[in-house]
Order: sequence, then structure tokens, then C-alpha cells
Amino acid sequence: MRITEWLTPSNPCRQFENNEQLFQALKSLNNSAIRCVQNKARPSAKQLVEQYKLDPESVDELLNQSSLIFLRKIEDGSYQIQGHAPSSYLVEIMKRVALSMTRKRQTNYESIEDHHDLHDPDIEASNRQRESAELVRQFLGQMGEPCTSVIRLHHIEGYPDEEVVRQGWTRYTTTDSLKIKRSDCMKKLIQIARQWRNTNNI
Amino acid sequence: MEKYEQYLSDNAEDDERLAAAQVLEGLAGLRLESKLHEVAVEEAAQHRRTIWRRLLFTLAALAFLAAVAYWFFSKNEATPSMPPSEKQAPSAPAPRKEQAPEQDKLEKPREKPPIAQIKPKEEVPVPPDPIFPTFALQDELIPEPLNSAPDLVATRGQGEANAALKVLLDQFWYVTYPLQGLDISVAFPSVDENLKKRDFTAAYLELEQLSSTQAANDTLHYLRAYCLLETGEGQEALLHFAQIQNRQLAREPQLQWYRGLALLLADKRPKALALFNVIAANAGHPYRRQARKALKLLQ
Repeated sequence: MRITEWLTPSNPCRQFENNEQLFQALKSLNNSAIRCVQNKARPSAKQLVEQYKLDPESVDELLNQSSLIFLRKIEDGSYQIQGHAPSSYLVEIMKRVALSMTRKRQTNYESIEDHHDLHDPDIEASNRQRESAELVRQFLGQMGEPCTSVIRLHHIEGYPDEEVVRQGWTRYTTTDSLKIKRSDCMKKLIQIARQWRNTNNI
Repeated sequence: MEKYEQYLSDNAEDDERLAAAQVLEGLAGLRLESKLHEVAVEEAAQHRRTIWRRLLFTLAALAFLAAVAYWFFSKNEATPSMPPSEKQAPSAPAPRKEQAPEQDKLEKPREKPPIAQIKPKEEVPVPPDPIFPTFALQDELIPEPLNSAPDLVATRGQGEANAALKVLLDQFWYVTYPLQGLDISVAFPSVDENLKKRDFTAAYLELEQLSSTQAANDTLHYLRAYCLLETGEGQEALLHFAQIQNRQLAREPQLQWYRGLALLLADKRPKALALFNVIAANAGHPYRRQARKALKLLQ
């Protein structure tokens, strides 16, 4: 290894030969792929923060929020690669998120609900997802163990059942028993959500 | 399809399905958030690793530079700090700082100056010496003394003459310990230690005590003379030097030189000059160059 390589951060994009490969890796939420597009988009994030006169420390927030929207669009299939670099699309999302952050700042003393994100379905969907995520986090807390771990390991951290059983992260020693328990836990979680929706007239 | 999915598609009511959709949306959101957090941690770790590598590289480079600088300067310092050429043969180990510029009686006196000052005679024309035209100038090139002369202002008072004499003596105070041909580390270890530490007063007091219990001998006289010389008591030193003059051939050259210095301290400049002239004129005398330097400075 050359000394210059040793002294510079490793390039996460190196392992992807083309945009198609990168896109496929993003679909499976590969860490290097996410780092690759984020590193490519970071200079633009800094520029946008300067351009929109946002707080200099909001670069990471802008990049993070945009990445969430970008990954969700890849996951639900609304973004398909058409020969362009995935990072270009991320930069486009960042522009809209930066604009939304500016609007939010401008309406700081008014009712945010009335103003922000009304014209951007992606940002609106992202905010809705964030709210749902926050609720699910609360519900999981209410459920307690072992449901919290069983659901978290599969639905949030994405571990395959075989790995969970092999590592002994739960008390279930077969994938079948683990699946049965998770199904029960999911039913319970849905009932908690249903009850919350009824209570709040949603 | 998991059981709850089956249940939702078969028996669930509408509000149950909506709740399930919200749960799944929330879980997907949590999954993405968790992933992005994981990526951020990985990126930060990578960043830290790079910083540590750069720091390590910088430290290693600095250590290397420091080692090179140390090697370079220690090599340069070694040459000028060498005692007069008669002190050691080239193959001998490096002398200690306290060591006197002593010559081996059995060894032929060497005429060469320190290595750094050697220049081929054919290439560098040597101008005639103004005081000793027969001596080559390069023969006068000797290192500065290792030790300074006694503080005459402290012992004798604030007089201008004392300060001037001290400045003058500092330039040719080639007086070092151990003394030539005298090893007292076994016989008088405590005195030896004090002299190595250059605590001449303590050494002299011990020698005084020893003199009261032992018959006076050459060693004690020489040591006392040396202590007195180093404390600036020239007249007193001369008394002891006189006791051992012309006794030991081995230490006679050093004794001569020290006696000359003691004469200067005792304000007997003409006698000192005469003695230095004798030493300087003697081509085999180990202190001839010191004497020539002294003569140059005194005239």
C-alpha cells in the first residue's frame, strides 16, 4: 500500500464499477454505497448551505434528510436509474430539502403546519414517515421484551432469521419459533397502533 | 408471507389495515434511520483512523528528523570538543569531559590538530606566525578550554584587574581533572569524587585533614596545589608546586604548565611569560600550543 493511500480516507466508491452496480448496492442498503453517494454529494450540500444562508452546521442534517428521501424512493421503486449517477439525483433532492429548510426558518414565528412542505410530496412523505417511525418507536417501548428485540432485529436492523438464531440474540432456537413469535408481536404492535389511531380519531 | 400479513389480507378490518400500514411505514423509516446512523458512525471511524494515521506519520517524520539532526550535530560537536591533539590516540575511547589534556609518555607526541582542522599542507599556504615565525599557524589551532578559570572577582573582589585577568585566563585555562599520572580513586575516593564534581573547597578541606594525619608526600602536594589553583590561590599553589618540582618526569610537563598559570594568578607575569616561553619553544612539550596561545594573548 502506498503511503499516500494509507494517509487518505479510503474511497467507498472504488468497489462499484458503474452506476448500475452502485444503484443495486443502494437498493440493498449497502453501507459503502450510501457512503459513496453521500461523499459525492457533500460538496454540493456545503454549497447549498452557503447559498441558502443556512446554519453551517446543518450540512449533515441536509445530507441525512435528503439521503432518507433518496433511499425511500429507491426502496419503493419510485426512483429508477436512467444512466445518470445516483448522486446527481441525491443533489436534486438536497436542493428541495434546502429550500424547505429555508422556508421553515422563514416561518419560524408562524404556524409551520400551514406553510412548510406543502408543495413537495417527497418531503411531505418523508415527514410522515418520520412521524410514523417516532410512533413505532414509542409502541415498541410499550411492548417490552422479547417483542422489541424480535421486531428490531428483523424489521429495523435487517438481520436474517438464521443469523439471529445462530448468534443467540433471542431466546428462540429455531427460525420457525422466531417467526411465530415475531408474527404475534407484529399483531400486537398493529393493535397498539390501531388503538392509538382510534383514541386520536385518525 | 408471515402470519400477520396473512391475517391482514384475510380477516383484518379497514382501520386495522391502516394501522398496519402506518406500523410498516414507521418500521421502514426506523430501518433507514438506523442504516444512516450506522453509515455515519462508520464514516466518523474512518475519519478518526485517517487523522490518527496522519498524526502517527507526522510524529514518525519528526522523530526521524530529530534523530538525523541529533546525529548531525553530535557528529559536528565531537570534533571541536576534542582535547588538544596530544590527549588521545585516534583509536582510544572518547575522553571524559573532566579529563586533563594528558599525553602518554610512551606514545610519540602527535603533531596533528583535530580532524576538522586538518588541511593538506600543499593546498593551504600557511602564513608565518607573528610571534613564533618558525611555528606553523595550524599548530596553534587548539580547542577552547573545557573549563573556565576561577572566579577571581568572587575571591579577590570587584577590581577591574581581577575581571580582566579572569577574562584572559578563561581563554587558556587548560586545567582539567584527573591529573596526569595520578589515580587517587582507590587511595582517596572521597577527594576524587569531589574533584570530579569540581568541588575544590570540599576536596581541599579533606586534603588538609589527610595532611594532618599523614606525612606530606608528592601526591598530597600536587592535589593541594591543584585545588588551590582552581580556587584562584596562585601564591599558595606555587608553594606546593615548589615541593614537587623536578621529581616526577611523567607529570613534569603538566606541572610546568599549571605552575605558569599559578604564577599569573600570583601576579608574577614576567615569570609566567618566561615559563610559557620555555614550554612553547619545546617542540615535544605536550602543552606547547597552550603556552603559545597564552603568550599570544598575554603580549
